[in-house]
Amino acid sequence: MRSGFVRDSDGGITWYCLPFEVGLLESMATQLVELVDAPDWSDDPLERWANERDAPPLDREDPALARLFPEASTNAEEASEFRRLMEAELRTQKASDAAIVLEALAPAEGTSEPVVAIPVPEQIAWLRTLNAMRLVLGARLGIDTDKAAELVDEIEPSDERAPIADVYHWIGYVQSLLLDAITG
Amino acid sequence: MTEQPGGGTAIQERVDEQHLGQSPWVCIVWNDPVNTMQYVTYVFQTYFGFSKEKATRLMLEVHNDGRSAVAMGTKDEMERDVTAMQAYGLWATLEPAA
Repeated sequence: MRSGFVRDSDGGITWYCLPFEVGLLESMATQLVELVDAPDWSDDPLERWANERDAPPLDREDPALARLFPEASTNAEEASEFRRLMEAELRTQKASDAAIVLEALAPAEGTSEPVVAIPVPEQIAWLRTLNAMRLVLGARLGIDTDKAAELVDEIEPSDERAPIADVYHWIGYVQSLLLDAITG
Repeated sequence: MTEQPGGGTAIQERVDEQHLGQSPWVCIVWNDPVNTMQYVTYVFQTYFGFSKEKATRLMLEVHNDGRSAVAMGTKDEMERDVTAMQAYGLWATLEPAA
């Protein structure tokens, strides 16, 4: 049985993975879509603008959201202007990246030997989404310094944070393998 | 690593794109403990079109110095670049060029 990420001659990636990996990524991607809570999309620019205007503000008290959407300036006025101009676009981008991952995973769901196709135009969305998942889990684990990152590597299996740390490490591993396959 | 400490060797490509009369801004990428060196290097190569060598040098500047100015241009251009970096999950800010 093949396993891992295999690059095809056209640059597309085929991921031979395990059923639990499909389920875990689907769960994480779904949670990510809910977390970024992007404004409803519309093909009508006016309606889209209204949706963006009416979207509830991000709760930056949540460390995960604060990290996914960092303030773009130490100057409060500049940071506020950037939020006004760019925040809806960034929320929409992160949600649509995660949606691409969910669509790619759907055909593999429930199969005993899942095969996931990641064609070239979707690879950036995959890398960004895996990265966003790591940022969210990193924030949940309180990783805010290099030292804190090292401590996460030492979490004992009995620690209540161990399951989150396991997923955090696993997603980093998957992202690294995918990057190797794309750039290799 | 940079040949001139604190100098702008990394951002010269963009200087030509500035419109005369507007003071330049820079896009800063900050060190963070979660994003991997491999991923940050890939982002610099992919988005800015930098060579692997240049992308790696900038990534190490972020890692070792805590921050690096990865692009310079008009304020609008830097808002665009900061947005792109944040879409990739990098910790990016904009500020007037020193």
